Amino acid sequence: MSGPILVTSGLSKSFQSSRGLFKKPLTVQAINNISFTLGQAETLSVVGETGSGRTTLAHILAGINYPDQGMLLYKGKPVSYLQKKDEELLHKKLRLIFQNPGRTLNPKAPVYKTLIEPLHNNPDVPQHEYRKRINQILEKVGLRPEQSHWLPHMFSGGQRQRIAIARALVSSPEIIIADEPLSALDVSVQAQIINLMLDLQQKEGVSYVFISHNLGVVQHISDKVLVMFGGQLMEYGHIDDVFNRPGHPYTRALLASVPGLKRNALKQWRQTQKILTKSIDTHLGCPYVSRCPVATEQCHHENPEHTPVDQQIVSCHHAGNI
Amino acid sequence: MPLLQIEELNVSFPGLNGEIRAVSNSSLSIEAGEIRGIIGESGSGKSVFAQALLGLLSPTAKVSYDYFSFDNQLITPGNQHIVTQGSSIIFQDPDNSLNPSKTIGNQLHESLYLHHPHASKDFLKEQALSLLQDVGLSSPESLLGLYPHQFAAGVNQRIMIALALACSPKLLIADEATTNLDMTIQSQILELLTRLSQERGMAVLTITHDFSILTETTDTTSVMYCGYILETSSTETLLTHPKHPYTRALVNSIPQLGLVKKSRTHLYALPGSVPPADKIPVGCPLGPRCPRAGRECVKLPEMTHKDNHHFRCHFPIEFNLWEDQR
Repeated sequence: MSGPILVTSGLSKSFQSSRGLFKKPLTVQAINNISFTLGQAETLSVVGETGSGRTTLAHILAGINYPDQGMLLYKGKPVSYLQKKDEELLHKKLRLIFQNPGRTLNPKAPVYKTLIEPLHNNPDVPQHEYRKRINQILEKVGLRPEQSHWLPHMFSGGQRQRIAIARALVSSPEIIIADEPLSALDVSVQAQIINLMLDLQQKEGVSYVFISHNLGVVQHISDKVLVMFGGQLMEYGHIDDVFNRPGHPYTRALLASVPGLKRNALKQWRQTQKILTKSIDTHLGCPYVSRCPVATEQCHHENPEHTPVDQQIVSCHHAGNI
Repeated sequence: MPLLQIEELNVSFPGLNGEIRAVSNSSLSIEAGEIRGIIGESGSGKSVFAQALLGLLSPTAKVSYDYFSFDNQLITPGNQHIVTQGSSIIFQDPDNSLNPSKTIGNQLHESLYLHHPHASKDFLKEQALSLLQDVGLSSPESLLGLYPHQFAAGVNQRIMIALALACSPKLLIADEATTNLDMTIQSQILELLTRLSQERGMAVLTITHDFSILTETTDTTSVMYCGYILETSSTETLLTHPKHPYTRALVNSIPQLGLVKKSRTHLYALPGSVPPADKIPVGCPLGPRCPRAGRECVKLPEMTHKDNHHFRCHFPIEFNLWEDQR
């Protein structure tokens, strides 16, 4: 099949936060104008700090939250949140993996029960084939079929994450959203999970939306990368373009902050980061303005547009002349 | 004479089925002004190691060592306070380590007062301001009256470091000090620790599970696994020519930015996972997971050293072999 599997354009979502009985509620713009394209068997990584809206974006894609504005196209058809049928079409083919596998598995349900549940909603698999399918999936993720009667606490952390991946895979999804799937695991186990995810992508042709803060892993597994800050798209493009020729000051600061070898070219960006004493507050203009070394008067008042620079999209007033 | 030297440290806790060994036969020495790293996965005993040095463990813990000296003094269980007074520790989560109901001025005053009980109030305030300036916070006067929740996490970690510096320590232990922080803030804190170490001649012991943190800051690093120090060498050597199979797994399992040769290839991964503390294998702790293990590995290998490279392995990786297998 050709053509992108998932396209979003201008997704926005804001939340209201109460400030007491007599004050107007505070509006927090969690994500603002996010657009990207995800192709078949591609990996899109979403990179950003805490509070940058990465998880809200994942929730909107998964249908946990609805966007205020913007479009979501699944295989070229817009997903309408008014019609349940439309929405189900996407959400049957989309699964999530979370950060902490220990907390997302039911501690009292044996593995086969956890895996059967998605099958109940999937009419493609007849009931008498459930057992066969579960055994297949368990072998795919590197567990033994006889372990399907075990409870989650009998597994190690890495094995639990394998169960979480198995649960996502059991209804043969096309898109898997992985929200920091590695950060709760031990270092030597993380590599096993990365290998598993890459294998599954080759064999099953699933697309990943991969949310992570580990830029090394991001570079290793992704095709495209979306850099977010304060709920907005800072830079978006092919991984090699963005990581080799970062166009946004924030992307540069992010790459420069990776402790490592031979990044002298970007080292100057480390010093330029201003120390923020207060948390980010909402205002007009570019969200990165208070920490940006090249910010001008314009950046305080005007929100930058998404401008194409080289091969990628950068939202910065000074894009192209840094 | 190193600032801190400890030989054959053993720490164990009472468990339901006998003793649980958290740290076994581990030796460490830190020179004054040196930045030293300890790397290990969760459960490898790296935090217990640091807390044993400072005497912070609960009284049920059994601590024994062959030799322990700090700042040219021999340490016995009776005079552990010499280490405690001469060193400080900062923890992972600054938001939980600061008192939320006191202003940071108050908290700084409290720690400074303990070390200068006869000093005047003005002197203490001056000290507090200079500490805040030292950790890179501009206009410290305006910050003294604020509470921890009014700051971002990176600033709170700076304040934690300022508090730790209040006793002018000779050794600062940073126990996963940058783990919970965002990438950009993390590099700022690491740079701050490096600068403070140079300015004050203070030794820093960085404890982490992330190799990338150590690559720029530390000179020498020890690798811990299941309570044993498996390898100690200069960080550069560990990255390029490790002797122990576990170190190689740690380095190669997580792709480093800029070092990615071929993306989307399989990463080098050890099979299995870290054993729980009460089920540490007999002999070499890595034995059951090790691809190079042989019959000898049921016996614990001795710490051997070549030049400045210490390792505990029966079948160390030879340089040429390692190049091939990469």
